[in-house]
Amino acid sequence: MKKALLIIGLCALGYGATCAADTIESKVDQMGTARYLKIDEMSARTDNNLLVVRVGITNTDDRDQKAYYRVRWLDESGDAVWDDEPWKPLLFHGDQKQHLKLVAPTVKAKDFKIEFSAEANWRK
Amino acid sequence: MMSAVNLKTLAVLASVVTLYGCAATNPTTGGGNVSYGNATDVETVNSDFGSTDLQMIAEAMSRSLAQSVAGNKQKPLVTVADVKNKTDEYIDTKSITDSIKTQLLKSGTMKFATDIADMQNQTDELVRQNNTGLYKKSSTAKIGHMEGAQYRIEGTLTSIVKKNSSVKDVYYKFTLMMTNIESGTLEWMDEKEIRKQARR
Repeated sequence: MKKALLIIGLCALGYGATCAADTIESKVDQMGTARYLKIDEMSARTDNNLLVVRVGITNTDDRDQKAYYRVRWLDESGDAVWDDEPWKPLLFHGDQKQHLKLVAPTVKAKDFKIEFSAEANWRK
Repeated sequence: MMSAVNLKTLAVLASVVTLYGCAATNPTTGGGNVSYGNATDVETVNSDFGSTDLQMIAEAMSRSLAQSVAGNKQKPLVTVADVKNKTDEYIDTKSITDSIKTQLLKSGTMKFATDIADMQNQTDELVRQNNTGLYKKSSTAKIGHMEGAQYRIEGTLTSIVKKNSSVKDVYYKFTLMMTNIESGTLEWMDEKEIRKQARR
């Protein structure tokens, strides 16, 4: 259901052939595998020609958890259209869900990839 | 059985490899206790205002501003006034507004007129080109053709600091507003809050 929502959201923006493969997992590069933090919602739309992405992240643990994220903004061919963003810290309280609103820096951004790093990862 | 001389030679060779072998694979020089990090990493050295705070504020403000004007047919012409630092720390707020300007210019959503801080250099150059008689008339920038900004951006940075024996809590609030210069109406305003805690 959540995967389908993202696919609909991105396809509505005219992503063409690539949209069929877009899932939450395909839009996130995780550094390790987050143990307690789950990215479980994602949708994308354009507002004033700028790509706006909404992301929901849930802490499945009852203790505080920390994470860091940033976005790579891409054009239709997957090339970066913006410099590396700064990593941003996030603090989740126990069982808390947070929604992030990510606004593209330029109208050239037509796609995105979220880099996500949780402090608590599953051991390899 | 290995002789004492051979053992000594091996030890010397091993120390040479240790000292010089590793350095050869890295294009560094100097050998001091200096290392480079990533400028985009989250900095947590202490609770003072830092690079991550500056970067997060600049990104949040420029994205919000860009989103508010990206649909306009014409890029608004804006001038940037001071951001007042009302914290107890020394913070170079011009560095914050420079980052915001850089990101907005790169985004292609706004144009910036010469601001107050750069006006002296701008007028000096105009006077130099027009009054010294050193330049060809055809190539001089004409006096009286500067464009006046439609909007003015200004802001404040405030902080609340609380501490007890074990925790120091710092709350920063950066507020930015854009005013229509002709009408005096406030056209856009946003703020970015940051909380940092340091355990003692």
